[in-house]
Amino acid sequence: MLTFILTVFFGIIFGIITGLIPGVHTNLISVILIALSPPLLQYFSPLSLVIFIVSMSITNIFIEFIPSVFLGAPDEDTALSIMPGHELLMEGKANTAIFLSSTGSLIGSILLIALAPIMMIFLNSIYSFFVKMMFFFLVWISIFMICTTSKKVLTTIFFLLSGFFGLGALNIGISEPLLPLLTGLFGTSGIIYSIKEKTKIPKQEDYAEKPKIKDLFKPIVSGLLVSPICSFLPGLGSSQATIVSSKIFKEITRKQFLILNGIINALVMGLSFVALFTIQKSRTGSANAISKILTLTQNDVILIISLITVVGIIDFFLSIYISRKVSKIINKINYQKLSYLILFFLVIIVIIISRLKGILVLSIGTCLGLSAQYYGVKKGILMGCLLIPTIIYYFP
Amino acid sequence: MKPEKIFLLLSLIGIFILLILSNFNAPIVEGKVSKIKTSEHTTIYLENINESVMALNINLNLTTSDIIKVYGTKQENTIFATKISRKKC
Repeated sequence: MLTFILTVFFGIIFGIITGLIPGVHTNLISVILIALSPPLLQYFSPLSLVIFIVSMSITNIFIEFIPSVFLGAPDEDTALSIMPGHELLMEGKANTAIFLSSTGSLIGSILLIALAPIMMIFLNSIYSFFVKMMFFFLVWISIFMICTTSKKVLTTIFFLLSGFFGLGALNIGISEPLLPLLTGLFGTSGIIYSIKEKTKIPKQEDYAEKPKIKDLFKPIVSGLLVSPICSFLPGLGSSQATIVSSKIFKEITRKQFLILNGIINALVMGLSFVALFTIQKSRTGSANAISKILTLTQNDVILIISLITVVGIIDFFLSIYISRKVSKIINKINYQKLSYLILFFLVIIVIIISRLKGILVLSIGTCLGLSAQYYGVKKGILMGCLLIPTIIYYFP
Repeated sequence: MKPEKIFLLLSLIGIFILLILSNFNAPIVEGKVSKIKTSEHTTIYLENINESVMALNINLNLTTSDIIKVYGTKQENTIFATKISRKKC
């Protein structure tokens, strides 16, 4: 029992570290863990390592919103939350932004209990249907995204440009191509824009506005409909799931968007373990790491789902606590200097992980992101960088 | 020139370079086919390579022990193949 508690504890600690440092994803720790697993397995049981990975991954999902909101430095799961998160930061409501996304992740962790058994029963039979339908579904979503904006021509141009950019970046042969791709489009471009506009962070409110029950309906329904699909289909991740599900309802507020992003990240992560058990396919780095360590049984999956729910509740309070601490000091820091520091850090991370070609992708993404921002095009449309390659991948 | 136009121009040039570079890209992985699983898509396993290769709409009539070069995107443990070429022995 003590080993179990300690494993969960260290998983949470590593999740906080990977969540707070922009660019450092749980996948990196998982890869290191796989490499170290032969000596580690002499001291720990395979199940202990699995518990560590699950605790770390779920904690990361809650905490990674903090640098995304306060610093504008995204991870691949939180790239889309930057815009509404940063808007709330500029209104002094960063704690509200974190509270909403954490509420979403907590709801996702709890919904998992209901969704997991359904997926275990039906996944094998619906898998091939969704693979066949995905092309048409994504094309419909893309058209819908463009048609719901005011600047249709410019939006179409930026959607296509980001698509070509994605095609080039994903096929250039770099490791972790999503890191420079999404960091450029949504992170560094936003940071440079803030530096140019001499952005000052206002004093942050100490409290968080709680969402009303009626605000939860749309995010929950959209998240429930889309997350299961994105947790087992190849080429679809949390970012694509968020774009697709945010278009299910005609109007979704920025607060609901943050809740939705939280729900999806937690559900996609949790359901990827169920998919690993049911169809033996790993769709997240964490599920992949687990597949290398242990062949999951039904009891293991039940343990993982229970663990996600328990750790999710702990992480909810942890993320709010850390957010309040950061919000107290953020406006005392010289944001310009901090922005330069983050830019430098992101460039170094990209060089280490994706090498020089990664810097090329980062630079192009930054230019495209800045250009969209100056033209007043909604930056969410730049997710064409993932949508278009995915559409081509599913072309029947 | 306005900043939006400068950034757009730089993006266009960059994307053009990126697309050219991606066409002259080295294969992500090269190896001997150890196992082929066919369902809605084809999953190819290579000898001594951890990653599995996922191929949609690529029909090469591969058999085990063929030596192949795989081009495409690597995400986590899966390589999404956009092009597979058989190496002549």
